[in-house]
Amino acid sequence: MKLSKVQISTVFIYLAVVGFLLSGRDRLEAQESTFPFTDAFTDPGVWDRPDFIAAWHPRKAAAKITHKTWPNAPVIFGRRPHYLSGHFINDRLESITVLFLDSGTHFGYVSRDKVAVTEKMNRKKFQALHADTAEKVLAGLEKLTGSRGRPATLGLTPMLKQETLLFTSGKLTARYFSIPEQLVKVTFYRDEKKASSFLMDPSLVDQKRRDRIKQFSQNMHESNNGDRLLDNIPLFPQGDRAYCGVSALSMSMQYLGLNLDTEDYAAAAGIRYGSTKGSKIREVYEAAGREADMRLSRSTKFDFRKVKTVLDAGLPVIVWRRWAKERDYVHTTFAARFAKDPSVVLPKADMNDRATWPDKKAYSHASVITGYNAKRGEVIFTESWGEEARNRRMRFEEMEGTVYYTFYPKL
Amino acid sequence: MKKIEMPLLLGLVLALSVLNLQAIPNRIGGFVNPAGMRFENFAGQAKVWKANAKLPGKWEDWKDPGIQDSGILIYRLGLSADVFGIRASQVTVQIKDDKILKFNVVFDKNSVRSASLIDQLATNIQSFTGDSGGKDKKSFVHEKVNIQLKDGEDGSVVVTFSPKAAAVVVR
Repeated sequence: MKLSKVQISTVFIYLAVVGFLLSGRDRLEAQESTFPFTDAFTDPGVWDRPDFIAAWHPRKAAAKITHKTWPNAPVIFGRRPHYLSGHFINDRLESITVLFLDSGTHFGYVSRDKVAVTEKMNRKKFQALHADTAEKVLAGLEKLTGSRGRPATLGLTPMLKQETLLFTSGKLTARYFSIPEQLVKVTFYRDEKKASSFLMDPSLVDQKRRDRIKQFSQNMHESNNGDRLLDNIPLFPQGDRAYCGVSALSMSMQYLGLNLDTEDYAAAAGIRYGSTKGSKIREVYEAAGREADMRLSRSTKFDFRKVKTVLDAGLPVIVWRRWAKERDYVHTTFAARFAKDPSVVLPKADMNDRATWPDKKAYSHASVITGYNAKRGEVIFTESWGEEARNRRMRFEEMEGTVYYTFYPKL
Repeated sequence: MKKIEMPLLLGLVLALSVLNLQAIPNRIGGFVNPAGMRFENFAGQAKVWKANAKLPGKWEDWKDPGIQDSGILIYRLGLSADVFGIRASQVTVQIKDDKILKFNVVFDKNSVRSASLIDQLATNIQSFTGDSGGKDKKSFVHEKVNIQLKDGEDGSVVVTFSPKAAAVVVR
């Protein structure tokens, strides 16, 4: 039986109306059958159930640390969150974050020339939305846990310090965090120790420096073709948000043991109303280094020799560079060709090629350097766009010619 | 003293503002959505050049005063399209006897921020095809299509896709 376009439209309208007519409670119950709402937020036993673990996307982890999302995030505490994210380490679910409100996600990417208008038109409405979301989430947490939470100050640096509320939620611990006009999020942890720390593994707080150095250096591996590549850099897609700088930071810092999310850095840096205008991303980089008990030193040059040394020590390097869509095309298509035929080479950095590199008029963009191939003269870098943008290649001369900041971690 | 300090101060302020991180837009749209692939990938498929091939997206009737053959139908793409990584200002298709003869893609002279438009296109087509483009770096072969690069009017550049078996001369 074939349905006409009118009939198909009628069916969709009918379904939409039926869905709308369901009460809030009915909607919650309908979604509870897919996401085990109460159990998942109180019982760690659920977190180890194979069917529960298999429901997160993507199913296969590409790195040791992987953030997976629950498809079609359900209404939680009366609000539909931006996303529901499961943080897995070695395929074990370690925490679940419910991102109820995030300025960057709410507004998407807003160009610098439009941010003032965007703020002017939306400020009051967004402030009200933030206040309402925070109130509903807190009420929901109080109802779920039967308590009003206990204050806990996390972090060492003024920039990243968080005034949070911790709730005992069954056998789990929930951490509530909010910044007006920026963020409302709740993260559920297996234990209070992890909920009370920014460190991925709080038991390592007293780890000796030489043990840390040894541990990271073991992550550098060489392939037969001469690629020297860091294993296990997590990839957190920035989405349609002006978050390349903070995504690159969270990817690198989670690898280095600091358990803060992209949205935490964005809020701390003040990326507001969809734009980085006036934000303090560089300062957040420095603060993140201090939180992780290391230095994140900044240079205005890309020194390939130094980059190789840092990578060989198992540490990723972040670059801020000039970026143009038309030049990015070369790296995108080259990655696709290289995947099919590893003998292909990038164009030589001659005068003609240099003429097509982005200059100071181009956009700025952040990438994570994850490896290199000295024989081929290539830098291997990863973008916060998705797994397809992992381990791309660029000639080191182009990286040198387009980078304006290089951030080197030092333990 | 003031004469030295002010330019220095202004320079510092400018440098700091330039060295901030602006971030890039991260959006996909236009032709990619209905086609499920980039335009150049679409045009590279053998099936596109067979009779009655479907054109994804919105195409509208178009006239080209240079085409005298009344049997040739011309349509213009009514969606935005990035072709070889650069926003095209116009994409047209010529069809005769239900078969596509060629696609003409026009790029305005200001469609790239830095490099010369024709150099950027040559680099990007080379990167896409793996073909060096011959001596003049303007004639490329990719799977089932020839891709030719030519200067257009007012600093624009025209890229023509035509079936490999029957290369056409770019007008």
